[in-house]
Amino acid sequence: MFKIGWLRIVNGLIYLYILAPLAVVIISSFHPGEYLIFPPQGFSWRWYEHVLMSGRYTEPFWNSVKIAVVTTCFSLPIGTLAAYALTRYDFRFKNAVQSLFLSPLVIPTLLFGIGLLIMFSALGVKMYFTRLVLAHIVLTIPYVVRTMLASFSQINRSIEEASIVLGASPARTFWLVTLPQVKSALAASAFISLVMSFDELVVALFLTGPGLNTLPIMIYSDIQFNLSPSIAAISSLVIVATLAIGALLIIFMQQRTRKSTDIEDPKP
Amino acid sequence: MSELRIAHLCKKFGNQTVVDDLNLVVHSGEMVSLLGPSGCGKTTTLRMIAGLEQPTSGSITLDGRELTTVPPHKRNVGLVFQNYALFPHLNVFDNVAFGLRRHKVPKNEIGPRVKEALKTVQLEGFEKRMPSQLSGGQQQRVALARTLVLQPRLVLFDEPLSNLDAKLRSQLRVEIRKLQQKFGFTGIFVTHDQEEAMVLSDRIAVMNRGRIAQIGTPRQIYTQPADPFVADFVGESNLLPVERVVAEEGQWKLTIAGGHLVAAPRTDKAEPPRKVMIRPESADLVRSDAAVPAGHNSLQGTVSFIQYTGSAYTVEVDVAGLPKPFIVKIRNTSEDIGFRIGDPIRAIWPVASTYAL
Amino acid sequence: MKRRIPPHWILIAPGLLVFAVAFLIPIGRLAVMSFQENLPEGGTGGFVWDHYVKFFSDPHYLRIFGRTLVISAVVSFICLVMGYCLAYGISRAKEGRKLLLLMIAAMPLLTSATIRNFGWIIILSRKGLLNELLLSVGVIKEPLSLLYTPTGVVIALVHVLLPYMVLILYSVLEGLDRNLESAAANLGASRFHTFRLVTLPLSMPGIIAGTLLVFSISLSFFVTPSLIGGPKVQLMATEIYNQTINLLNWPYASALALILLAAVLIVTNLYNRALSRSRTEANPFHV
Repeated sequence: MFKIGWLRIVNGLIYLYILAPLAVVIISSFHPGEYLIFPPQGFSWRWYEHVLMSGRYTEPFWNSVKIAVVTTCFSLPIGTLAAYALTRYDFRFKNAVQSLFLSPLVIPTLLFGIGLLIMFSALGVKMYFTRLVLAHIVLTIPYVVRTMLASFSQINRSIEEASIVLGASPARTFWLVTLPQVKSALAASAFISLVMSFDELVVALFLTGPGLNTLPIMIYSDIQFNLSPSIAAISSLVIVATLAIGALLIIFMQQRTRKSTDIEDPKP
Repeated sequence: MSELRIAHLCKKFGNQTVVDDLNLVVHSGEMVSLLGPSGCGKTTTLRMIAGLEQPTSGSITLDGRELTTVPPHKRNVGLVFQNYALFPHLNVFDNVAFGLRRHKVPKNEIGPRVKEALKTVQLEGFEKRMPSQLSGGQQQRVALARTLVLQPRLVLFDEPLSNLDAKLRSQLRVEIRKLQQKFGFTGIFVTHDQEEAMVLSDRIAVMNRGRIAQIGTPRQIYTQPADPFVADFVGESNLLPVERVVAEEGQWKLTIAGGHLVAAPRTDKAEPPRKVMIRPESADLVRSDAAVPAGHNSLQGTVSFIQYTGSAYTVEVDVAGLPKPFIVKIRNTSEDIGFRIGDPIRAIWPVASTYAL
Repeated sequence: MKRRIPPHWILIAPGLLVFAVAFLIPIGRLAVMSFQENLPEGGTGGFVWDHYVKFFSDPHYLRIFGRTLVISAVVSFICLVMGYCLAYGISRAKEGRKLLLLMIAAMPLLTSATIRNFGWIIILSRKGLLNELLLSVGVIKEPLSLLYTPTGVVIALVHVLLPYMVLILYSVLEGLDRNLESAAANLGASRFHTFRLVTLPLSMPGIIAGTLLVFSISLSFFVTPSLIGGPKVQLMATEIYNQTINLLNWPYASALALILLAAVLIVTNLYNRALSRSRTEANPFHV
């Protein structure tokens, strides 16, 4: 077992490496002074107060939230329906369609940024909010499709068939029988979509205009031109909030895991 | 009236023909089994009646109304699944009420009807349970209740008992048959278990490679199989290859492999028989030097294997020239069987029980 | 049921529409623009090969491309080594701990890259955590200049991409039949030999897949080179941004973007082949 010994040490160091930047951000947010120094000399909530009161980050924050929510309101249903079609039906071009829906995962977001910028400018479209939402929908659909594909393929088809035979149309069946089976996956997909949109920087940099700032853009520009512990404070809030929601989601999903699809077990 | 007519039904998957020009009439109130080995097309046929598969060609009519153009959720045909297919997120009550709600049955009627249905399958009081809390047998009963509560005129059963253990299976199949007779619906029961088919059905359609090999009452199928496939599939049988045929008044004199002479009653078939079938339970074993009674056939051989199965002995006898041992089933009496492996023995059976195929 | 429009088209229609408008058309437009002349007074002209010629003949840009490839390769390699150690450790851990360890390793994915890179700035700067630590321990006499260097970019980029590698390798290692390792031990192989002769070869498809994925993402990654590398470390992504936003040379930027896309697609293609090979070979695990 000697191998496991040094592996543990190495992995411990790697975990430190993984957690370091996040820990550092959170810790330096408590520094009482003006400049960003590590380690902080003292402890103060000052910068949190500043962030919450000053309103510098308020508008970008709400912009990001709005964009994330609107994006998810579209990407979740569109992606879910597409994933269902890909799971249940066989048709020509099926593989091509599936690759298409998953392709934004491999295409550099940079290209989206420029491509969309060029296209919208050529069309004279200046609706910054709308065009960013549109871009984010495309960016988040692959995550939804991937998650829901895995989930739908695990459903026992015969319960959908039973529903149809009992008189429910395919649409009613989807709503009454299929969707309840994938609640956890839907929640996870929604969460991923919200987080991806909220944290997205590159495309936002290309597509926003005057008057529309997202939180990542604000943080990005402050890092470059306006370094102060308040960045650490707002970042820490985002980290903690995201992790908290993620943890709640996991707890929620664990509770829902009864072996509900395991209906073939003949017990004595 | 709920008569089902299937005419020239065909189903192809790509190049493979799974159902091949199937024709069948199921009379109102009748229970017909589709019996056959896996891959014979019985489940595909059932799913086409339910509307879960589209036929390549052919027609299915229920009381004169063409079904193949009706979408499955409007056919009002009951279907009981092999894996029960209960909705895992709904309790027993909501599972049984599901169909009633889809058919817009008034709310105040749903409760009493569900209760009544559960009573029929002996699951009163189970309304609030979830499927995961039920045993296999209970789940299947809920599935039955869910189907029967809609009072369908035709109910399809897709091997509903295959996932249950043997004892539960024999119990439930009798219950299903009683329910069918009580409610009077027309039923089609798919199974690969011929004992099940025999217990449940008014008639059995034995299927092989997409076609019906024979259709008849259980007794007809068993005692007068139409061809070697049916003979071999239904019940145990000895199938002896025929080498020479001599036709006589009222009977065949057949020489089978190994040179033995066997007499069989004449059949109406045009072709001379190529195989002879004897059910193991029609045969008996006597000492090899015993006299053969009149009207009986006999084969001489050596005991090669003895199986004791509680209610009977199944004995294998090696006979010179025969490719497989001759099997004889004798009922267990309290006396000792009287012979051992390796003893010379003689098998005898009535000529009337010899069936020429 | 099948007389009307087949249901699957209805279901994927919204997705197809969105993708046509916000994906296919923009990329198509991008491709077109990469061949358009960039007029000095603004606007674009007719069809030219200029931008591609410029890229392939100017050593400045070729160096940028080369630098990008090298950094991506280094990042992929380091990610592989670290990721394999982690994935191996997690898959051999006790059942209860596994999920927790995996989640900690994957957790950075939930935090934005901007914030993570901000943390690295704090750590890597001259007065930052790392330097303070090394100085106080006495390993170095003067603070290291890590910010705005390729080394710094590598350190931060490895951090960003490590979770992807860990997740892929973990699922591969989890799918391995443990009996194979027991059989090897039974036949006389030491732990080291078992690893080298059984575990490692069997996890090769995952290694290839993970490496290629990390490589293709780091080729086009923007945030880290921008924040950590700054103007001193020029990579393809930052150069594309520069050309688009600062120099307003959209046609050239488009050409650069397409060249980058070509590189990524080649790598992705190799990745997909590695994936399907791992499925068709008699492997019980799915990457």
